[in-house]
Amino acid sequence: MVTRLVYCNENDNVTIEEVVAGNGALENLKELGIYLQDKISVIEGCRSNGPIYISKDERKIAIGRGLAEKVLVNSIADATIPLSKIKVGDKVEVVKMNSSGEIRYRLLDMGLVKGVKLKILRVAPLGDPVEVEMDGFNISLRLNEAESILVKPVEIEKNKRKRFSIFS
Amino acid sequence: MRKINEKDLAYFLNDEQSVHPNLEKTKQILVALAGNPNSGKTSLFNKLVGANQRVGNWAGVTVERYEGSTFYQDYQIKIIDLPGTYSLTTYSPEEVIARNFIVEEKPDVVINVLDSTNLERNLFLTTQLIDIQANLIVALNMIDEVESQETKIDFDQLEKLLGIHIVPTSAVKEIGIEELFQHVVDLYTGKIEAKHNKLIFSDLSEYLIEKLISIINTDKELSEKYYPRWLALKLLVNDKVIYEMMHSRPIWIKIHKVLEEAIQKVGKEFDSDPEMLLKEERYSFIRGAIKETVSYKPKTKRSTTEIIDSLLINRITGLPIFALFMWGIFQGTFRLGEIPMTWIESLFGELSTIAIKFIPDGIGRSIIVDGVIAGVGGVLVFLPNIMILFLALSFLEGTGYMARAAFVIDKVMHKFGLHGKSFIPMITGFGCSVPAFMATRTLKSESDRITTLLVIPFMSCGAKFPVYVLIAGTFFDHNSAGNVLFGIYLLGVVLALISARLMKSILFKDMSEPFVMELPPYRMPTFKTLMFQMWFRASQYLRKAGTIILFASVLIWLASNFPKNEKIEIKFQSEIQNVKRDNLISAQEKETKMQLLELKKNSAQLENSAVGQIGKMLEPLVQPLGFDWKLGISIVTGIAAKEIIVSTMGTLYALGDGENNSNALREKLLSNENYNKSVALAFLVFILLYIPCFAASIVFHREAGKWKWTLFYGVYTMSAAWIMAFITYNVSKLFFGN
Repeated sequence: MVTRLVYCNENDNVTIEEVVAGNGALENLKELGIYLQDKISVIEGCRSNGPIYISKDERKIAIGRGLAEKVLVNSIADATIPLSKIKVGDKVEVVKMNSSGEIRYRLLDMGLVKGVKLKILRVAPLGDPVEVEMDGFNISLRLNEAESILVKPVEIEKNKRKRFSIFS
Repeated sequence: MRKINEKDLAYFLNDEQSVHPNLEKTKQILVALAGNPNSGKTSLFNKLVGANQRVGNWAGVTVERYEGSTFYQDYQIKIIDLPGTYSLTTYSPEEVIARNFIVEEKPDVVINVLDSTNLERNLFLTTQLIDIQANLIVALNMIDEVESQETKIDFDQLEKLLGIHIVPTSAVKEIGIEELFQHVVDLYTGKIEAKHNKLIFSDLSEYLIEKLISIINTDKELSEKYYPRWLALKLLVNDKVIYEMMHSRPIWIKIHKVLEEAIQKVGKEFDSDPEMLLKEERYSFIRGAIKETVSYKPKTKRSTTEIIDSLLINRITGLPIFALFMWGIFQGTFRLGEIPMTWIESLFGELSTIAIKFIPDGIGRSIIVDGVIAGVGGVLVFLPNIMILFLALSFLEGTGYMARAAFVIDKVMHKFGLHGKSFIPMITGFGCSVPAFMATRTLKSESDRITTLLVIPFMSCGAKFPVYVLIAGTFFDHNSAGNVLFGIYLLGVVLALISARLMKSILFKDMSEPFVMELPPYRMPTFKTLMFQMWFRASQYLRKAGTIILFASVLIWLASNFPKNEKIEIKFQSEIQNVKRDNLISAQEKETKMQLLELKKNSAQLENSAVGQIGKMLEPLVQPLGFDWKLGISIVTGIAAKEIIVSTMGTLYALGDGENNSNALREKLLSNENYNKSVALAFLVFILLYIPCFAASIVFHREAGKWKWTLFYGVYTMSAAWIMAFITYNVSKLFFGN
């Protein structure tokens, strides 16, 4: 399926599919020697907050995080990612809940069980918490609460988000 | 606590009896309303019982208990509005209350109110109510919204699947109210059968449940009191309350074995635990039921809520709009509130004048005018603030913006261990602590609420402002006075935030409070609900806090006027008489001299009164801060109300408390060689931080609910004030010299 480069696992072999940003981003990639439909393999960095290292034809290339978030790839591997790392607009499915204590019960009671589909609606103006939609029911979660919910991406938001749009 | 409730109940019934003398003939049906938050439960409750309701607290906790009653046919229907919950586990006081009420009090009928636009979430609670085997009626509320969304719900099929009676309702459009009552009565009289269906889980779960039930059935006492299947389910989901109840019983050994087996088997077969498994099975049952009975029209355009949200809480305009709303609430509460406040003040001024006219001079008049009338006025004067604030808060709560406000500001508040919803009570504290303390009710978690309550006193309230102006304006020049004022406010905020952080990490160390909350769809709250909310707060304040405040203010008045020293009285009276007889001075001079003597007399009497003596006794305590006994007395009277501080100083310096005396007071303060910039700063800091006025403290106690917290609040504010003033005094001595 099509997923974001940042959602991949280490050692996944993927094909560059699309860049959901302006032409500038595509140019940047080209400068790094990466073109659409290239086959690359991910080395490391997907779960960090820093750049992502990939290899193409035995060559190791670092892609900045901001750019890597906009690169969509085709991957056959399933990846599980903490909900806190998911970008706005993407749809995911809950795989596992690692949270414990009261938060776990609260989430379960609100319907956050395995198999439920979630969509990140928005991030609060100050960057935390996030608003998550599940079947027409919107909840807000702090990032540290979202971190212990493991999800797999189902559908990637492909619309190039306008940076300064009032309607975010 | 329990006793009080029953008394309340008896009183409540008596009330009804006087209105309806035929009550002996009518039967009472006890109905409980259960449902998710935001399911429109409160609006429906208001529709069902109208104005005939009262609000109190559930025993031992600060969760509100709404109950009301109404008559339908020959029955008196008494309705308890249980707190809104998503579930009936034991993780919040609300859940425990709702569950205990249904399990222990066994109401005749339980109406489960559902938000029909969000059945999947709402039915989760329904499945748990089915487990308890309550006499259930499901009210499919907000049915009008479903219809306007062109969603179709097959009521008959849903009724069959759930095995519960269903009544579509809408509180806003007044749909289904009559039918709901009819169902309640029919269910009570047995005209329609109470269906006790049960939810069937997977084979493994059922096997475990059956095994537990057979063990529970051997314990007669237990199985008669509780429904065994419910106990079995609760045991499987690790319910602490049920666990504690059971584990001292002899059957526990056998139960324990089954539970271990459960954990092992579920772990092996599903890579999960029993609790998670049961929840998932509940949800898959619900999803199945919805699939079979509800046909959704695919959404074509963005919903109204999405559009409003994209305007109100997006990354760019989210904060400014939030700030605008907060500013609006603050201004509305205090600026707009000022108008009726002046009416109340002038009304009580009138009353005093009238009382003075009709009651002969003496102690009796003084008690009535300065004690009682001033006291009642002092209680009522907070009412406009409280009413406007709670009107605004219930509007925000009712529309759904409150959760968004918390969403927007949570990051900042969370840094200091607070919740996004702490913001409103805290900024309200800049106006007045009384409504601010009351506003903490929007916080659901105990630790968040207590922490917020404890730091509100540091948000400098409006009544302290005149003191700042007087002191800063007297001891600092025009330019630096403004800086001093700003510094004082800033110090309050910084200390509040630091205190919150400390309290969260020391007092509530072991509590991790989940933030997760619903952002409900925007809705227009009904006018009735808003009015009820506002009126309830006001009446609660008057009944619960008002009486004590009145009592206390009379007491404080007595303490600052008595004991009267006869010698002082006689001495000054004779001096006044001397002046009167003095023929050498002009009439005008005579008048001023007499006035001066009168003021000196008042000053001497205040010094001699109980308050004055306390202030003097406290002198050694405040001496390290550079204060003398006069400042000490001012501080003591400030406990009654911060407004009094300046007028007390006026009295102590024999100036009276008229406005044109403030310059004279400044001169007096400046000419006192004990006072300097360091003392002034220390005094400002002390006034900022020490215990809020008596009215606020009583409201604090009402909201915190435990003496432990009130005591802590007193000690904490007092010691913070002393320590900070001590530091300020000594540090600024280094700068300004002595």
